[in-house]
Amino acid sequence: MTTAAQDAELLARVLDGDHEAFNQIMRNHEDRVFSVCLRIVGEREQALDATQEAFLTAFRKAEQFKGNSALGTWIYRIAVNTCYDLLRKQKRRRTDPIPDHLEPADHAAEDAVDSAGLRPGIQRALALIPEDFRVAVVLSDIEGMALPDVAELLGVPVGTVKSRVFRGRRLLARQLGNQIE
Amino acid sequence: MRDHDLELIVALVEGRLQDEVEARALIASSDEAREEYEAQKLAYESLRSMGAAHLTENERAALHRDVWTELRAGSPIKAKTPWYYRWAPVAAGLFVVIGVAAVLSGGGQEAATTFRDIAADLGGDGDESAAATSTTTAEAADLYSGGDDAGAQAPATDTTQAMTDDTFTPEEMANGGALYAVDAARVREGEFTARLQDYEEESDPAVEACLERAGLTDYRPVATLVPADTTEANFDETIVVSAPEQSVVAEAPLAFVELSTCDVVYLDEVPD
Repeated sequence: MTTAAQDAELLARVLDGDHEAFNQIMRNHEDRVFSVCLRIVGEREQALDATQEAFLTAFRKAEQFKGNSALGTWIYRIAVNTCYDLLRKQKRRRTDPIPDHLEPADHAAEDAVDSAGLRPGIQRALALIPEDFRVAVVLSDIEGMALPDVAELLGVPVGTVKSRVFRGRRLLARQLGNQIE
Repeated sequence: MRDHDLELIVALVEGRLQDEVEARALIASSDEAREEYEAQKLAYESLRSMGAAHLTENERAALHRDVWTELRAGSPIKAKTPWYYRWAPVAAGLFVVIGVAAVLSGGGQEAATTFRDIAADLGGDGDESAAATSTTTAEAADLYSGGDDAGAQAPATDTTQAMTDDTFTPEEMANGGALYAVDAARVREGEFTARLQDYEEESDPAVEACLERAGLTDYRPVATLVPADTTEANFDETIVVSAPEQSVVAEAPLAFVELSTCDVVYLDEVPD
């Protein structure tokens, strides 16, 4: 995790034409951006596309970053918006089984409650809840962001985020319950 | 249920309560509260168990490669060129000036002959080819001298400065560039000599057109790489490897062009 000062210095170097600085920014944030995108859009290839698009946008708009938020928050906001655009283009819900290659060996897959066999079911259930609720629970419960940070990223009040998380979990539980039955 | 009850349930699920008595009593006393608690808990624990996803190393390399390929797609590709390419426009201009001066001074036939001889050495056959040569080399200069790009969307301070940078190292393409550099070395070492000869015997119009689309009008194809050729470069498309016209492959900059899109995916600098 980089500090705000480190990110600011890197961004200043990017604006001076230092490509290696942008490479470093990518290395600092690419995993998290990809993770957010994957959980939102639900497919690995599309998540990779969204991740690429997010960094392209960040590079092209680097001059517009005012420093009012952390650089990471700004990049994740771009990523979330990119995912929203992607989902709007699709205009359909995913009901197909997720192929085995979609979730390559994840080093955190040791949980007793949800083995690898169930996690594709969670991703599938996640894809069935409305986008706004999905984004909220992904950022809050999977990425572990505090509600105020999620609110800042999404540009909505904290109360709105709280409501979306609550309702998103409820809908997700219903989808998971349907899968178990 | 009241907002306070919902807040209690959520806090209990998230493990934020120091004293759980009130929350536990609420759940025990109300079916609605219990059902809400179980739903919130199921979803919360399921989501937490997913954890963060990670890029594989190949995906990471491809991401860096694709981002920089895309950023450079809007600007002239900058490559480290042999010295004779950088000085070719100057030389061509000098020849024209000398030739015109000779004609005007009355040297006439002799000068023209001399000029034609010089032009012939360059691969031309007279004034027309000399003009064409100068045009060609001028285009080459435009291609490799960088400069403004009307199509670029990136901030001008970034791409303009980047495009005037003479250096194009594998580090600029991060891991993706390093992988392609391995294949570039193999091409230079003659690993694909047979395919080089194929191109020398008969040109492929589709490949020629692709190089032209990629802005490599002064490059010739020297090898074709398919995914089965390498286990190191992270590509799953057919790649045409090209080098400047009249260059020696072992000593020339090499451009890797994806045949399906005609995008330049990698430029390898002149080896030391």
